[in-house]
Amino acid sequence: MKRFLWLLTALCMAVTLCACSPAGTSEETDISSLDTSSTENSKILRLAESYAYPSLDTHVEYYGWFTSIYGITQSLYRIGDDSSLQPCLADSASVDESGLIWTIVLKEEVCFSNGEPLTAQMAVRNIQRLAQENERFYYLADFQYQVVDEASFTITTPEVYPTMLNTLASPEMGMLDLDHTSDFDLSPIGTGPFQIKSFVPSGTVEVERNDNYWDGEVKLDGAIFYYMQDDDSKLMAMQNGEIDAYDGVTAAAMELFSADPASYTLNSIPATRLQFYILNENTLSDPVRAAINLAVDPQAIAEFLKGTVTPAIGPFSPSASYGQVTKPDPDPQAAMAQLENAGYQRNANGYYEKDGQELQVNICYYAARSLDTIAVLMQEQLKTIGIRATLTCEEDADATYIATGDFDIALYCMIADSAGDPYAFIDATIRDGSYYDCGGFDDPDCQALVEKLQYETDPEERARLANSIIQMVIDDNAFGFVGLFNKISVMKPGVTGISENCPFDFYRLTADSDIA
Amino acid sequence: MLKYIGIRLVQLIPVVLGATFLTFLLIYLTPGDAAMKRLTAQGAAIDEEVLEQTREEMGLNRPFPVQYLHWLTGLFHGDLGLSYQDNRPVSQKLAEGMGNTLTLTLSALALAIAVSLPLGFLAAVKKGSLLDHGIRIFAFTGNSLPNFLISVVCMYWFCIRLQLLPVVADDSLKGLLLPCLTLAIPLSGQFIRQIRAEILEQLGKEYVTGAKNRGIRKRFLYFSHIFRNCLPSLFTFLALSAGTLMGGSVVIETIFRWPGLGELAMDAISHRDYPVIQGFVVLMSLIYVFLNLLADIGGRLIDPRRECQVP
Repeated sequence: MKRFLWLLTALCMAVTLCACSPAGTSEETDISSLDTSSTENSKILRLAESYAYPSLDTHVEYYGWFTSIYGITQSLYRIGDDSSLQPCLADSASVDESGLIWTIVLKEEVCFSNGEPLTAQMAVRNIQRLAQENERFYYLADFQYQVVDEASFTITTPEVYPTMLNTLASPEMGMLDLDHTSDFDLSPIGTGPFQIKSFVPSGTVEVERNDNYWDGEVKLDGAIFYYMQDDDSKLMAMQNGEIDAYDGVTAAAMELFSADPASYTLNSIPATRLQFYILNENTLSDPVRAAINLAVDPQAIAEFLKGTVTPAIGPFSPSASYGQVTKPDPDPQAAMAQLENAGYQRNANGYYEKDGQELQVNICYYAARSLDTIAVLMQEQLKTIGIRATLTCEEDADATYIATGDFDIALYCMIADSAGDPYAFIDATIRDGSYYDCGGFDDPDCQALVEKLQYETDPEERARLANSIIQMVIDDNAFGFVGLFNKISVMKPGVTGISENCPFDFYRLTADSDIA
Repeated sequence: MLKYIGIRLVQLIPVVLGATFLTFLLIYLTPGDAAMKRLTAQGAAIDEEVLEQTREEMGLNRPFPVQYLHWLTGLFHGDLGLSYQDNRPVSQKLAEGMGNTLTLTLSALALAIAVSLPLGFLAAVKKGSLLDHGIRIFAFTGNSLPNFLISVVCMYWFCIRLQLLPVVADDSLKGLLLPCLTLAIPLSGQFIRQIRAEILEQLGKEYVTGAKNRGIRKRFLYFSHIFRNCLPSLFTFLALSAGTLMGGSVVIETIFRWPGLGELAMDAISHRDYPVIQGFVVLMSLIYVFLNLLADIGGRLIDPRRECQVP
């Protein structure tokens, strides 16, 4: 009997070993071979990325964000850590008096990783390709382009287009050598400090130093981006020394890393992803909306979320010139006074009512980006001032409460600032008839400012207009701004220059990225 | 037998049609907009005009029957369409995921069999003993632990504590070990219970008593009679488990960075990527029907007394 069982076990083990053959042709790795960072001969930075895409074609979909992150492509302009626009591949840009004709001058020394220079002709062809390949940039096809000389070209717009430089700074606007790139999906030729070494679609990406880089020395020899969605996997890979840095650190992981400052460097800055809610002016009166905004405490919410968000005053970073707005501090007493002045009285259950009707609000949310936690916290905070809140969770906000307007309070999360300019957010949420203008906010003065902002070219005046618009929205209690997600990065000591202080998601590797 | 296989293959057509129609209808009725998902993939706000244009381009404004018939026509031409997320052919995406999932499934099944066959046998033969209790506790525990917990515990022990395997694994043998082990543990729990029950059932049958009375050697009895008689039902169980594993290992695939079908399907569902979801449903229908057929044919080959009946 024993011999039979041994025989059976051996047979099964043999079957297992046969089945456990490698799936692909990739080389077998072991832990020691993974530890390639900062060796004597090479400096390879290993990072974990939560997203991976099937293509490296900069002009398609959002793939340009990733070629920018990998340090392969650069745009004519870039957005600084303080949300300011800075020339990158372009030397300068100017617009004529009519505001319709932009002249872009390229830096003379810019070249692709294959040594070919970036000409004005190539820059125009890149913009035209983006207009053709990416539906979010279809409007670029309406512009007229004219090459002036090798290093300059003009863009003529049918109407004043003040955010031209922001558009030119979009990561999708990355410049590619269209003549020599043989495969846009797998090996685009860009101007960045790195070039592609190996690319597994929706998997690991490996880049190496671009020896022809036009803007000085590149400190790293290369970098590897591992696609890791799971937070625990990233945490353990970091603890095991298999990666050198990653961002999107969770609150639980932050506690672990901050307990060992000798081994890990944590960096946290407010980024551009905004948690906010829309107050329905069709169902909630002015005093009720005011009371709600006075009751909701972003600071308490941020503390509960353990440092993953920064309390928001407005939709934009307070460090930006267009993020200078104010709002009253949370004040439950003042909130209750608002309700009582409006004729509400406490009932036996401790909730306010008027004309025998209990004050109830419906908070709609979707279970992502901590909105579910915020909904529960808001419910508690509203309860303390005598407002009964019911929660409605939807899987897809865009297809349900945002589309129908069937809510009292609609929680939502979006990138409020994707290009260093406030207009995109204002246009999508505040402008009359926009997709997220579903709360009934209607102020002709505010709409006039939105119109003005659309065509205003002076950055200072744009910031002033944006601040005025947002302040009007805050004063009218049309929205409530809860928190800006923090960009939390963890790095091994010695890792520097991985855009950890940049609030935008589409920058990571630069020529200054380094590992000691 | 050939006639039987032919009939089963013909029956595949209404199964696939029914499954795809129901899936298409359910996705259509579920709130969600593939165009919106695609345009806001990174969370930025979009323009209403662009949204409408994208809906038009993706064919989402067409009536439901038109959308379904268009997809079905493509299917009959061998074209599963393009993914809404990245415009890649669905068949290509499924083929990539299929290879990885197949490797993971076969490995996990083999490991589970390797562990559960001897343990299930031992538990049945030593019924009521300490060994039997120990094996059953292992089986119950393995079966009841959620996959994500087994994954994290395995990763912690094998990668962090013992430093035997890398967290950042690839599709090599070492990369396969942990996901394979994680899938095999609960599967072994199920197999052990199944094998133990099957053998105990056989042990209570008269032919076993007769064989023992005739003085037949135990090894011969177990291997040539009891084990053989257990095989058809075990084979069916194995085939059904393979089908479940093919489409249901999404957690494992995510945690261990294993780019298989489960992860692909979940991603497609969250992005309302109808062509990929439909392609996945077709593929899974085919796999399930094929595995059922295989189980029937295998059972018939092992035990010729069994009839292949057309359901």
